[in-house]
Amino acid sequence: MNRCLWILLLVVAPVSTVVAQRKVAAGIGVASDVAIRVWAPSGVVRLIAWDRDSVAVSGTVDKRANFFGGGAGSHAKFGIEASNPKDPVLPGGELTFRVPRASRVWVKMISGQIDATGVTGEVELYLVGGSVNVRNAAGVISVESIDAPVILEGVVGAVRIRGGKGDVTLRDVSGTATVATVSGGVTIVGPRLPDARIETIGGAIIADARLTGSTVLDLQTHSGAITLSVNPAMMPALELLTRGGKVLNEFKPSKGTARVVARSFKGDISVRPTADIKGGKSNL
Amino acid sequence: MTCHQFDAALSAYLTGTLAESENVELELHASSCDRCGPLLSAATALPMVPPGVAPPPALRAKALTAVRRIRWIRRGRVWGAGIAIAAAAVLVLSTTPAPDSGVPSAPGKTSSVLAIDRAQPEFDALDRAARELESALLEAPDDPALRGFLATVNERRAALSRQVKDAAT
Repeated sequence: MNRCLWILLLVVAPVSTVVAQRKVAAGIGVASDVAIRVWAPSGVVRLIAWDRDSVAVSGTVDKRANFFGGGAGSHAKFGIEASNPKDPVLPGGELTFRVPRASRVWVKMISGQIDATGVTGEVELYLVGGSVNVRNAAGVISVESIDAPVILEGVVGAVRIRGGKGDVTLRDVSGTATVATVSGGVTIVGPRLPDARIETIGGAIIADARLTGSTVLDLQTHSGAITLSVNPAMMPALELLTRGGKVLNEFKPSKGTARVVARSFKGDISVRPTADIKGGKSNL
Repeated sequence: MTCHQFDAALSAYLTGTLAESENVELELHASSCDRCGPLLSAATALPMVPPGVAPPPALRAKALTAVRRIRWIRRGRVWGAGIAIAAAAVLVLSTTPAPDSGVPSAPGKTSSVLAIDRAQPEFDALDRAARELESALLEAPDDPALRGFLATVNERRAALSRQVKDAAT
C-alpha cells in the first residue's frame, strides 16, 4: 500500500510543478547593438551573449503571470506582468535571454537573481533584493540595488555600482570602477585591478593593492575597516588618513606611480602583506 | 500609506520632521494618488513663514473674524448653513472615488513596501553617521575632511531615496 502511495506521489508531484508554470519560447531578429529592456519583478533573469543578431528567450513564467515582449532592429522589450493587476504577489519566472554580444541591456527586477555573461555593449541592472552576477563582460556595467550582493568577475570597462546592504565583489576587473554602498562591504581582488573609487558608510573595504602602472585606488568609509593587501616588492604610494580609527602600517613610504588613498572617519586602516591576508579571513 | 495616514503626516513632512523613509513613503503615495498628489503640490508651493514672524494686523483681524464666524456656525445658530454643509459633504463623499483608487497596481505597491522595508536599516545607518559627523563638525566646523564625509553621507541618502522611489515605478 505504502509503495503505491509513493508511486502516486512521484507521478503527481512533477506534474503539479509543471502545471504551476508556463513555458516561454520566443525569438526576434535585431541589430547587433540592439537596446533591450527587460522587466521581471521576481524570479531569475539570465543574459547570455551570443554571436548572432537575434534575441532568443526561453524559460518559464509563474501561472499567475504573463510573458510579453517584442521588437525589431534597434529596440526590443520583454517582461513579465501579473495576470491580475490587483494580485499583490510579484509576478515572476525564470527566463534566459540570448542576446547579441554588443547589445545594450537594461534589466529591472524587484526581488530576484540576475546573471549576465559575455555582454560587451552595456548592462544596466536595477533591483531591490536578490543577487547579481556579471561575468566576462565589457563596456559599461551599471548596477543599482538596495540589498542584493553583487559579484563582477572578468569585467573590462566602466563599472558603476550603487548599493545599500549587499556586499560587492570585484574580481579581475579592469578599467574604471565607482562603488558606493551603505553597510555593504566591498572587496576588490586581482589579478587585474581597476582605477577605483570606493565609498561605504559602515561596510568594510578589502582591497588587493598590488597595483601596476598609474592605477589609483581611492577608498573612503565612515566606520568600516579598510584592509589593504600589498606586495612589498611593488608598493604603491600610500595616503592613509583617519580621524578616530587606527592606522596599522609597517611598510616604508613608497614613491611608486600607483597610488592608494584610504580615508575613514572612525574605521581602522590596516596594510598587510598579501600572504597574510590570503591566510586570513579576508580570503583574497 | 493610506490617504488618512498621508493627512496625518503632511504637516510633519512640510516641517521636515519626518524620517527619511516616511518622506519617501509619503511622496510615493502622493505620486500615485489622485487626491493626495495635488494636495502635496499645493502644500509645497506655499511660501514658508519663518517661526516668530508676526502676521500683518489686517491679516490677523481677517483671520480672527473668520474663526469667530466658524465658531458661530458650530454653535448651531445658523441651522440652514449647517444643513447645507452637511448636504454638500454627503454629495461630495458619494461622488468622490475611494481615496486609494489611484494606486497603480498591487505589484507596484508590494515593490514599494519591500523597497522601503529593505532600505530602512540603511537609512538608519546613514542617520547615525550624519549625527556623528554633525557633532564632530561642532568641534571643528572648518574641517574639510569632515565636510567631505558628511557630503558623502547625504549623497548616499539621496541616492537611496531615489532607488526606493524607482522601485515602485
